[in-house]
Amino acid sequence: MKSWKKLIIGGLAIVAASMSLTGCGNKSSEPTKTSDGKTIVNYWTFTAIHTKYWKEAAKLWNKEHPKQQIKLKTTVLPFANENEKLTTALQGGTGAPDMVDVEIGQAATQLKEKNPPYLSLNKEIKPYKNELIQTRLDNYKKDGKYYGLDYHVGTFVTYYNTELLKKAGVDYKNIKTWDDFTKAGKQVKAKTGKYMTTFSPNANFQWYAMISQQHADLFNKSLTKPDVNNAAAVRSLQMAQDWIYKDKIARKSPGAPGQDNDQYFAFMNKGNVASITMPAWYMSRMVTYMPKLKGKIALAPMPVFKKGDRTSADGGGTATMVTNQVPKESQELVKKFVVFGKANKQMAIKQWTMLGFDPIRKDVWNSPELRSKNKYTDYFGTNIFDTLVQLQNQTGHVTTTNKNSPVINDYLLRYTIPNVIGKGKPSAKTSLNEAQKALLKKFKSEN
Amino acid sequence: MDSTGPEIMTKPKRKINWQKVAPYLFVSPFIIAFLLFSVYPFVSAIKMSFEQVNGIAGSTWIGLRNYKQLFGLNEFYAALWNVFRYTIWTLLILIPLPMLVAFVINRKGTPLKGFFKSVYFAPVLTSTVIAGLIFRYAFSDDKTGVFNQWLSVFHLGPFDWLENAHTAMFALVIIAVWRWIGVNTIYFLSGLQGISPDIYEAADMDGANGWQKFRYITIPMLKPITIYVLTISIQAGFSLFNESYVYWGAESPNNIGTTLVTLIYKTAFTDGNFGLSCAVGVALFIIVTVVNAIQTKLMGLYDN
Repeated sequence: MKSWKKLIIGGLAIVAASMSLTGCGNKSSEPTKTSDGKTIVNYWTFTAIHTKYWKEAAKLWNKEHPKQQIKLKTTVLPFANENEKLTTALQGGTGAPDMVDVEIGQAATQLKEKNPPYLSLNKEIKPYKNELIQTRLDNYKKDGKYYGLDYHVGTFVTYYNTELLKKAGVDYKNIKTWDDFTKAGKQVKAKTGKYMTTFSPNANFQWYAMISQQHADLFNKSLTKPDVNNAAAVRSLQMAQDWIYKDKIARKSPGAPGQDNDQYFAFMNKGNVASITMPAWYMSRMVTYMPKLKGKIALAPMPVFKKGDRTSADGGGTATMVTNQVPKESQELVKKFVVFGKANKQMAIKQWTMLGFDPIRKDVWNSPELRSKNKYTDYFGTNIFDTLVQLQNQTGHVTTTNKNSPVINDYLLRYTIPNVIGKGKPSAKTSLNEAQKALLKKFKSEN
Repeated sequence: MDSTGPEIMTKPKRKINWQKVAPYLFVSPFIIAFLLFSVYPFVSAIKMSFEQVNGIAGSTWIGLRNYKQLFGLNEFYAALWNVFRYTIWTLLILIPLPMLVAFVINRKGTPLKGFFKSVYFAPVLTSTVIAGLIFRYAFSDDKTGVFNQWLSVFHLGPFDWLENAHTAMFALVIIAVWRWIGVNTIYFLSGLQGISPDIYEAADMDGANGWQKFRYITIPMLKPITIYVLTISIQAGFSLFNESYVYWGAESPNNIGTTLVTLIYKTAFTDGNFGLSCAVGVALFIIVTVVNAIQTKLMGLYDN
């Protein structure tokens, strides 16, 4: 009897010992300040270059705020991994960083709870608000609170391969509507055998931009119901299907995701396609991965469906957010720093010079720094921002950050786009009617 | 008297029968790890499947709502159908084929036994993720993809391997066969080595040919191993994840690569819906248990 008792006690002791070991990862035991009094700020991202950007921001901050010095600790994780770790850490209430990059597609999921695990940045954003491009703020807004600031606007442009177009006798400047574009595409295909453009069977970028340029959305006005089979959505998706399967002037883009992958870069670099419609940040991909196209690419507004449509959209994005796991004493500081890092004028200029992005501050778009020589102007010419400035009031986007957005995106990416674009059947209308029916049902069951 | 008193009191206390305690101490690391990392998560997963999990904000008991939602999900049925087909295919290929390979390797007179053993076993040592990446490129829809290039010899294709339901299943089964044939071969080899050569000799005397020996000696003698391989193959088939994940990530077009575990993964880590995710896990557990129970019963494992 007695030896059993001992055994149990011994067992419990071992369990207790091993439990206390697991306590070691606890946040409270981590120091929040360095020995020389700098506040330690932990930052996670999925893009290595963003760490350089934030280190620059920390340097500038420390210069301007000598009494509130910061020591930035950065961690780079693979894209999906970062988001999963973050989700788990926020759910578990421990282990999350102080500030974190959240991609726009994930933001809706991250913010869907009634009380999102992030801190509101309203107070800190206020002094900058008039300078910031409003549509980019709204992406990370919930119940009147702003939870993050983006790195860029992601102004959509159509990039033309001028060399290829010249061979086909097409002047891209004459392409104003998608009809013109299709016509030009036929000419390119006939004269060079190459494709006018590509359309992705596994991403929604291009399609969403085309919907938004027609002032349409995937939700009804009050955002209570899906509206994925509206005329604008059907029209644009059908056009893309026709390009590939009827007119044969486009092909499905190789690789995944979308047109932002190494397989695609190699394909495009060979000069296989006459145009691509993507946000301004795609410039950095071209400069890095498509050296052969240097000096051959022109930026132009997106063609439109009809007069009154917008000639651009804004697409993609990544916000930096402040989690609710920042120690109380450094919350104010971290919030201020994050907003400073994005909205400060010098940092906004660095969004272009360091990252190749179109900055989220309106006023810097006209500044000389955005026209000075760098690897982007070497590649695309010096008038990049002269084109982009014209599009500044032309951007907009379909709703992708509503709490029901993941449901819609998920469905369209899983069924509609792979069928209509990937397989070429059924028609956009049939497929979207089906999607609307299924989504109505899903909305009902989830709300 | 005074000095002996306490001695008598303490002596029986100090006396631990190490002979009896030692075995428990030796197994305790495993038991503790098992309780902590298997039993506890298992129990709490069952509990969570009846809850709406809101992280540190706490969980609310919602009864069968997660299960109701689960049974309304197309993805769930697609996943079930996928893993069912996948399991059947892997069983059809990954039991007879390794058995045959093991038989040939084990036969007297087969040259280069060691070489073949290591060749068949090598894929197991590669990480699934690396192998998957390479297979993904091999199954590229481009004309220059490995499989499309082979088919072009016969004037077939090019196929969109990873976007079509049948070719996608083929891609999944191929990678499983490539990877697991070695392991199953090793199992069967060890089984074969347990069969006494006397029996074969006796069969030789009776004039049995190679096939008869395989059919009437090897297969029946391997039954315990076969049952074991079958059981783990069913379990592995239903828990398919890695291969599907490297091909498509957590979401595949038209659910052609969705499995129960990718569904668990997606609902938990992409959607943040841990309750529903646990419900899928519980469903997976029940399915595998039931299937394995039926299979072992049918094969007569408990007959003795």
